[in-house]
Amino acid sequence: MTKLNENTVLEISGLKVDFATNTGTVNAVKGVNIHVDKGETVAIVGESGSGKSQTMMAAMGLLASNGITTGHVRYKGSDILGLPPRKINKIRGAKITMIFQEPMTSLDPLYTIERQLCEPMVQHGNYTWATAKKRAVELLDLVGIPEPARKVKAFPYEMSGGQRQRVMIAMALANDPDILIADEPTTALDVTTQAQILELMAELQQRLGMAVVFITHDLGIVERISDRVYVMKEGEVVEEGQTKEIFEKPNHSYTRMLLDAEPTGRKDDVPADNPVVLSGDKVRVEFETEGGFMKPNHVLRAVNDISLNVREGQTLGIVGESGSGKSTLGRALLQLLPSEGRVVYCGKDISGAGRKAMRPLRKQMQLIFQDPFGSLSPRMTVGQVITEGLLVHEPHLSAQQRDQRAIEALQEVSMDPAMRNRYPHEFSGGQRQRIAIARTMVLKPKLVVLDEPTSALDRTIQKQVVELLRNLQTEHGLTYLFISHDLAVVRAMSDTVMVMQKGEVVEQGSVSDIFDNPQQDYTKELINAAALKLEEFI
Amino acid sequence: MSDTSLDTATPAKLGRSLWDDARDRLLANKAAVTSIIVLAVIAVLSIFGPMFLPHQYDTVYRDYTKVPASLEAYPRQDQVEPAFNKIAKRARLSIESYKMREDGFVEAQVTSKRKIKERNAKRHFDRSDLFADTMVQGLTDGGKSATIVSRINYMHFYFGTDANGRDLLSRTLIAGRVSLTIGLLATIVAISIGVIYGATSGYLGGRVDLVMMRVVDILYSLPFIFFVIMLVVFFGRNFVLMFIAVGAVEWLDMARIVRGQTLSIKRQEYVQAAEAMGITDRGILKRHIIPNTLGPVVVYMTLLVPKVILLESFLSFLGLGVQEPMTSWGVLISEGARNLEGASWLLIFPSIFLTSTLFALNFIGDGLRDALDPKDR
Repeated sequence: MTKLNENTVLEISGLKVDFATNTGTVNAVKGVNIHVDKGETVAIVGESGSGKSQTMMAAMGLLASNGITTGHVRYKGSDILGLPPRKINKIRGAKITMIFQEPMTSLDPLYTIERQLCEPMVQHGNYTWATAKKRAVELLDLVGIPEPARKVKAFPYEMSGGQRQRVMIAMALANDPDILIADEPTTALDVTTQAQILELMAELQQRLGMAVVFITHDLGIVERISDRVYVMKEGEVVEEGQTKEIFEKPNHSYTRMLLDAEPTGRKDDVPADNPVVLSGDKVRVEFETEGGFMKPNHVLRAVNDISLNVREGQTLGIVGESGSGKSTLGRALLQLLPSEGRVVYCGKDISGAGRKAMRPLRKQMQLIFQDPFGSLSPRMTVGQVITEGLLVHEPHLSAQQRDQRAIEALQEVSMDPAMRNRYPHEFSGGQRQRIAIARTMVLKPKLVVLDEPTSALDRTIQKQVVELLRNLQTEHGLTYLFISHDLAVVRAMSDTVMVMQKGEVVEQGSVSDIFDNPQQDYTKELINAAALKLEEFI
Repeated sequence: MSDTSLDTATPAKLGRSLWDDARDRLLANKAAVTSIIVLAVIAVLSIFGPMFLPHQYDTVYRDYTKVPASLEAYPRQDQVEPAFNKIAKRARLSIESYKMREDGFVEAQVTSKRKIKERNAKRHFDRSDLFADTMVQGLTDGGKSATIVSRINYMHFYFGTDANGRDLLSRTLIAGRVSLTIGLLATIVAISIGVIYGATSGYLGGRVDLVMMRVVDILYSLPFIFFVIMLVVFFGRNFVLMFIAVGAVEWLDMARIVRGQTLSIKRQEYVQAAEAMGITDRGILKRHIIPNTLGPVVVYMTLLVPKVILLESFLSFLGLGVQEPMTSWGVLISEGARNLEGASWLLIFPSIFLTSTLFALNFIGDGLRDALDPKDR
């Protein structure tokens, strides 16, 4: 597929990116050849750290100051690598444009959408302010924002994440680009929004005929929208080809691994007469925001009268998009947030219990967080992190016994106990999540609330963590409350599933009921958007 | 605990903490390393220097008031004879012949109208800072004529002397002890109070935070000098009082900085994780919050030390600080500024020490900030 023709708009050959750090040079990209033809969609796939983003950033001259780039980047035959900023800016932002992952931070909160849309158009000299303003309204219409004439005067905070990403796309389209580089444009969005944005991009591409370079870690997206695929691993392209061929006959073992990285299998049933570990009755959480002078306070009901029952050894999956109140519910059940309603843990009413009253129970009720980077204290060694809970719950242990427990816990999560004197920043995301799991396991809990424990991880690592969690559950008879927006993971983990939207339960039932026979429209929409390969499981 | 046969003896690999990384980055910073060396040299000189100097910081040499800094020894060749004559005159001796010997002795033939008393003559000459070991030999002429042999007492004043004839080098080094001690102790006082207060206030939040920070605001509004005068009135002038006074005022800034840090740290997931594990407030503050605020604290500390040294100078200038004959850099500089005309060395040498210390501390602070938070560069 390396044959070039006059249709090639962007050709990257022998691109190398090195970063000079104080621990030596890091070779982020090791000689990559990529070409993009007119009007085609090329996907670059890889896990985090594979150099997929760095390749395109380097090609655009957007590297951090300690990055060194060598090789060739040809746009329509002329080399643009290493051009002075003034020259490259004629192409960058006009003929080759980019969209980034984070729609929340890519727009300047101080300026209106109009101002931010018009500025690049005027800068590149194709428009005056007056014509640019007209064009801005057209563009917003093009990317499917309702009432474009009114929305153009809005500030970024007045728009949702999906709308902001649409604005970013509009901005990228402003100067009729030949190439649109989209760097994980849908990763930060909810599944339903994600599907809409992908649809929009496919439609725009057909209409405007530009080439799209799609950088992503999500093979589901790749399969749906791209013509050709490059698979990257550790700074090298390990496989390239037509999307269909790659998905049907992957040659490289890494590609195969990526392809079957989706968590599989289901949880075994537990006896239905197991005792109930946790039950909630009409749990309600409200947040009050001050209304200001002489105005009543605004009350936001994040969780609205939710009732649930979890039996020993069961997993209750709570699914919902961001803002549906699923994390709030989890914290309220653990009495980490003030709530109304009744919460009963092992036959004991714990609703409204204070910190002191809860302390003895904390040993049995644990919480695991989404962000493996934020949930470990950066200045403590792994051993200290793991054994911290023992200081409170088993204060009679000597330092040596605690160390022994840390070793056991690390072995339980399949990590080398020799690592216990290292610091969290020396580990990868997956390893950190294992450490976080070890921290809860060391206390031998009964109930664990898992708040999106796999969302920040790559697919292959996700699969390992899911398996680890399942093994721990069968071994210790743990009860899980599994909170996630990722339906594939929830299906692999849960006995029963609860679908939440805007603080309310939309649908509730066993895994097979929900996934194979969804009743509510919202559930169907979620399942469609996630594009689960349902047939595999029937 | 069951005794499993786990291999506890597996050598646990030592990890690199964030502090280790920061230290490496700091050591790669040339300005910071130079500053650390300069500061260490000044500190060692101040602590041990005075022990090896021939002059005490409070010894007064009446014959050497305001002599300029020099590498040569005093007295100068041309100063010896006039000084000798002056003493002889005061002792009512008239000089017949005067000779300076090669071996550093003065030999003079003197006569007097009265009988020369050996002890009296000796006392006159030895009392001077210029001569020592005076001997009265060969009394003749019925005790009215004699030979006086006196050793010239050579002394070095590398930094010169002050208006009272005290050696400036030993005074500068002693002053360094005082200034650095005050700088360090007051900073430690300020930081310990500030960190504990700020972290507690920020972490507990709510009404406690409100009350605690209002207390800080009230203390802020007290005029500093008024506060110090009040302390002096109650407790009298005292060296310890200095850093209590300075520390008691400077912790307010620290408390605010740490509170701000704490507010952002307590929203971190590792703090929530600790709460979910049932860790006590004390434990969370001690193990999670305070260690993570220390980066900015260390940086602020290097900037606080110079500030405190300057504050002490200011207080001493007003007469509320250290008292004579004890001295500090601030006192020396204010004296030097008064004698700028004619005795510039009195200003120059203490200033060199103070400014290099301040520069060094500021560079170290800069280096630490870069080392502890590389993202900010």
